[in-house]
Amino acid sequence: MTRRSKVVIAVVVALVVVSVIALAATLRYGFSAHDEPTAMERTIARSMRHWAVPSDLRDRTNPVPLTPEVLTEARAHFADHCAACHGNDGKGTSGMGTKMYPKTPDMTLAATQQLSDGELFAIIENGVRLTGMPGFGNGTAESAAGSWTIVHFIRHLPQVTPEEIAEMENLNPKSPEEWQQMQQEAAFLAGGDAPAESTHAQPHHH
Amino acid sequence: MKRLFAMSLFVVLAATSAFAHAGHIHTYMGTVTMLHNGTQFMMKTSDGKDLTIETAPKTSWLHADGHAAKKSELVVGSRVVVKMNTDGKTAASVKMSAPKK
Repeated sequence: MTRRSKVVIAVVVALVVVSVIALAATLRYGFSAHDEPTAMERTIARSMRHWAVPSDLRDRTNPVPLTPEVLTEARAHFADHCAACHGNDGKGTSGMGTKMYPKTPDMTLAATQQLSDGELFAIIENGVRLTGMPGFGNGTAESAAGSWTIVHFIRHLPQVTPEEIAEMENLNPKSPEEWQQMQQEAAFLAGGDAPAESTHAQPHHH
Repeated sequence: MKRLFAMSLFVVLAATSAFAHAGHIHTYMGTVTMLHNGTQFMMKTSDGKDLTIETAPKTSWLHADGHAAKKSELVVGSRVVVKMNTDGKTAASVKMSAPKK
């Protein structure tokens, strides 16, 4: 047996031992979505996400002209479809995305804002595998147009105002109980009587 | 390998589903009774409890109609609806009415 063969065998044995230890530890302690992804997982996931974007989309710029009406439509669309996980401000700190693995990103930061329009569009349309991000597209022109408008709103997120957030709160999906609570709050601020319970524990949107 | 991958995926998805139902956003309604050092105020909830509310630089300040307000507009006597952050420690938003005259 040559020296080179011995080295190869030693490396393979070492890899097998490390894999067995890692597997045993995983089976012993399980997984938790509370953890933060490791650096290796982040690198692999971002690479996979990059490769998942069709090459003809990667450098596309948004074909939908940005107008105040388009931004208003996109804001409403985002409040209804996206905010449950990403939060109305896109920071990922107020929706159920805080409990996901990986956590929803702060989309106001460079890691998202530096993605091309086409990459953002592809993520919205096709989703991201092994994350909580669903693919919202259905292959129709209407779906594509909606996703391109969302790209405009994602670009707007770093400048979103408290007024816009307040408007979006009215558009977020709500249960009948949440609608009732919202009406009670408005009535209370307008000078009306408070409801019997002045303290509410409002569940996250489902 | 496929079984391990499928098991990993199942565990990740099951954990996501379970934890998605955890946590609550507390909302308090009441009247401001005292202003503290710029980051805190006291309120009496409409069922008579006294609370100290801690605010943060990221707290949103709003008028009842949803328009932006300034923290300095909060005065004793204002009716407020306070939504806490999910950590329960600081206010995510404070919606205020004009104080009774």
